[in-house]
Amino acid sequence: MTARLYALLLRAYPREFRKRFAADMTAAFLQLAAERRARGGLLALWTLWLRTLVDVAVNAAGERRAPRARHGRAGSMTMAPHSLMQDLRYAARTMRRAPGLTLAVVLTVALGAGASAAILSIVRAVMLRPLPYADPGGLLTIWTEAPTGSRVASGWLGPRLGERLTPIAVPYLEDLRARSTSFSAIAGFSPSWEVTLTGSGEASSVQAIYVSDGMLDMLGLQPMAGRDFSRQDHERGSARVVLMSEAMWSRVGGRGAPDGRPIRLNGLPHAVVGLLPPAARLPATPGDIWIPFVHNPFAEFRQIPLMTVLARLRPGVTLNTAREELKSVARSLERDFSQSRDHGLAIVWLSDRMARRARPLLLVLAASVTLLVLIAVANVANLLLAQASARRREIAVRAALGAGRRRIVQQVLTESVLLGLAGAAAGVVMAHWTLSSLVALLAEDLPPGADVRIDGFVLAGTASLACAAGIVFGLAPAFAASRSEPSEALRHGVRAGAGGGRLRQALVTIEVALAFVLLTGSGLLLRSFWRLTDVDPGFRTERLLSVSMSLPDARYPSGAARAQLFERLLAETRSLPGIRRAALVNRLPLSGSTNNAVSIEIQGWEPDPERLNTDRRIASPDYFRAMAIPLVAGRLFEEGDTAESPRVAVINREMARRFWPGTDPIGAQVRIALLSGPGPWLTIVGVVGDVRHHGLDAEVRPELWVPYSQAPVSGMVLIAQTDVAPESLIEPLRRTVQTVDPELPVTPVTLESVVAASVAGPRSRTLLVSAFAAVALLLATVGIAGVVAYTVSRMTRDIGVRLALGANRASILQLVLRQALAPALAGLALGAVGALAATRWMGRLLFDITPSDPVTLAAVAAGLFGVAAAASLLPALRATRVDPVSVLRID
Amino acid sequence: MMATGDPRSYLPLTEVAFEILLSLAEGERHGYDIMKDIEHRTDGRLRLHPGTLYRTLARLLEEGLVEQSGSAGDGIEERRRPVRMTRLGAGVARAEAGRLAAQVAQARQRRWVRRPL
Repeated sequence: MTARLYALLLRAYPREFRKRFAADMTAAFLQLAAERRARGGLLALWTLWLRTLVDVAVNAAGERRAPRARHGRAGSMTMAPHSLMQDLRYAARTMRRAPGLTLAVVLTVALGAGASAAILSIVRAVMLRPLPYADPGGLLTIWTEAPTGSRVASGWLGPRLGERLTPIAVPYLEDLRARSTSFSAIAGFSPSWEVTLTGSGEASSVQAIYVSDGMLDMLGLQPMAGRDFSRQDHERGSARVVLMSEAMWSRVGGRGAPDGRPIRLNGLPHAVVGLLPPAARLPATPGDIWIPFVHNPFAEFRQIPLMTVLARLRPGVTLNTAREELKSVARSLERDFSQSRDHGLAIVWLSDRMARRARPLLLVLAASVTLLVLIAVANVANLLLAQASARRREIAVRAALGAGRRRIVQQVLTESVLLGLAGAAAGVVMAHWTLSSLVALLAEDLPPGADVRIDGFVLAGTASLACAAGIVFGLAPAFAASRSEPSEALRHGVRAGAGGGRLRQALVTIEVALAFVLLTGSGLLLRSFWRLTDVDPGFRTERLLSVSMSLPDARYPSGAARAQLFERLLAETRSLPGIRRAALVNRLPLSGSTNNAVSIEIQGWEPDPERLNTDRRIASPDYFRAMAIPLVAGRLFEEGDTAESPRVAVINREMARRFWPGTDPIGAQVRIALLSGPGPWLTIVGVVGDVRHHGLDAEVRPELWVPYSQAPVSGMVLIAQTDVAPESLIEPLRRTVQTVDPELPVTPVTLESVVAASVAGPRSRTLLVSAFAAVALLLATVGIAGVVAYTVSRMTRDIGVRLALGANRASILQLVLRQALAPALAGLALGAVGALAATRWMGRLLFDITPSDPVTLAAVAAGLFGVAAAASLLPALRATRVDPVSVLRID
Repeated sequence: MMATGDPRSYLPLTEVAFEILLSLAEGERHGYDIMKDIEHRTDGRLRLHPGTLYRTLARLLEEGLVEQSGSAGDGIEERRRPVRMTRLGAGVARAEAGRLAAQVAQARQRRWVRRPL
């Protein structure tokens, strides 16, 4: 990395010089860098880079200008510190003398640098910063490779819908350990698991994680106090013990080392035996309490993919060897367990898996920021070029007083690097202010618990970027300044903006082209987002409140007990003023919980568990009415459907279409394959409308609804339809639930917020890229206006002559506009090509729209042209008011 | 490329050039060693960067005051070539030292410098 970066810098030298010395210089630089790094850390390394930029810029410039040495002189090529100080002082004075220009440049750079510092912090947190464990780069994850795509989506590390890599069922852990030799350690953990903590104040819902033995060892960690789980703690029938974070320990009233005192989780006492060190945060899985897997109700089932498996390779074993071995392990598992049929095993680096989901978004953001920075640099180069032509006289005076070209180039570069650094400093402050809201905005797209902050790496990166930008936007003015012959400049004085005209027009072309690409990206996201929010979710979202509840098994052991509690809850809720209906459902649509896939059998059909697969949902009779889910055929659940009455089910339209195309499903008999075996036969009594449970952009799956009275599970969501604004009933509803059972944690939320949260990802992406695009547009407008004003000032004399010769004002306006808009039009053409090429890989982030959407491209082209025309109009109008007499008199 | 002629025609040397020749007095060295040696001998007053060092070395090579051994291998390590002083270089360095000594002697007469103890 260091070597490549330095090699890039060396390209500034003439080829001849590079061929002879590049290797030696790189070697020397690498040694220097290693030494600085070892002695002074990142800061020293960063200072070295800063000095190196100046070192290379000055010497490469000198080498290009005067490749042959004069006889007898070995050149005075050292950057004496006092001359640098001199330059800095001089630069500061120049900046103070032109505060407007300085402010404009610093603000422009700050916008670019701030955006890149913020995005760099996020990229760093998600993709670059190592996890806080021992040798995090050596951590692998092992997955089951299913023959078909996953039907559930779970967590950050887990699969998305349709993905083939799924977690591993807990019982396989011992098989993996026993049948493979490639790994020095294998351990696993569950997704975050909501448990109810009682016994210390109000009941609350906290996140726990089930872990296998050896998890702390895997991460190279020790308990902070107390002990790790013992071998026996993981055996069936052992006492319930937990490890917890220090924060959780003090929350339950613990002091000092844990003493085995019990806490109540889901109504059962658990002894706290040890405290987790702060680094014991499992990847992308928040949880303050660790519980041995043996106490998880699903840990014994081979068909439940519950566990993310971490592993480390034995020393000397390559990834490929391990992969080959896992293939044969998978074959042996297939032989021994029917659940493993057609399943493979796959290994993926943990770091890759962590970054996977954020990558498309981060790429888009990084690309947007890059475009923004380039536009900012082009803009600043433009401003400085204008200033350089105004400063020719001053520079000529310095040259006449004996300053060499090298000194002048160095001086001008020092100024622009200083401007760049000032901008970077302001940008970092801006990034610091906005980072937390940015992280909140992107929460959907970042791994849970991602540690996003501006660290030394981000600072160094931003500062380097600013320096590089400073050199890039300073080079043109620097050479323009050094090229001029002092005698000539002094004799003629300074004519406004001589020189650099073509370069400035080229810069406008580039700016417009870059802005085009960025605007197209944002336009695509915007249109895609509008389409997404236009999708009919299949249910009402207004005036609905929901409360998720999970009844602890310890206090509600039977279905009858649970049904009784929920009946009471429904009755109490209905009696609240302002509530029209109350109902129950096991999962809220669009809430992200999708773990409902079951295999079914249909009477009279061949069993086919792969194809006959639906989502099972549980609801009380009023649910469909409360949510305005339409009845398509047959009937809804009724109060008469009780635990004792014949078993019934309602299906959605998609299930009817898929399994009974062209025939009537009413009256058909289906049964669900439960973990314990096939369930009872159910009679289909009705068909209801489709609901987009998995997301507005996800396909609708077949759904089988069963009445709550016939499937009284412990985790349900209470739905309340209100006659008034639902927010006003949040508190009354919370109190009502608490009077029925004070140990239930309650947080009512509106359905509208659930739906809004489901499109939070696309919304934040759109918002961010649009913000970048808006800034880009602003910068491009300023750039265009600046260059047109400059063109007009150069044409003033020409215009005066034309006017004197009788040209009318309209033709002058036309002339100026044509000249002024030419670079912008070239930029539009270039930008359209660039946009088509650049947005191609955005497909994955778009919904129901192609990256080459002609409407977006046309709108962007028209909008940019309008802006360019508007920006040109004012200076052009000024040109028509030129007074020919006064212009001609000057000469 | 070996220039010949009177060492005195190369004078005066720049500070960097003279320091480089001083460093090479003890034998051939790589670039990094030269930088470190100069930094050490001047108590950190003169810290060279590769750009400055090699630009000066290029001049010295051109004028035949130093020479480089041939390259071998492809990796960065193998491609580094040590630099050593030529006979002409040694002569020029001595001539420069004499010139400086004469200057210092003049300064001393005016009591600008104290005699070394």
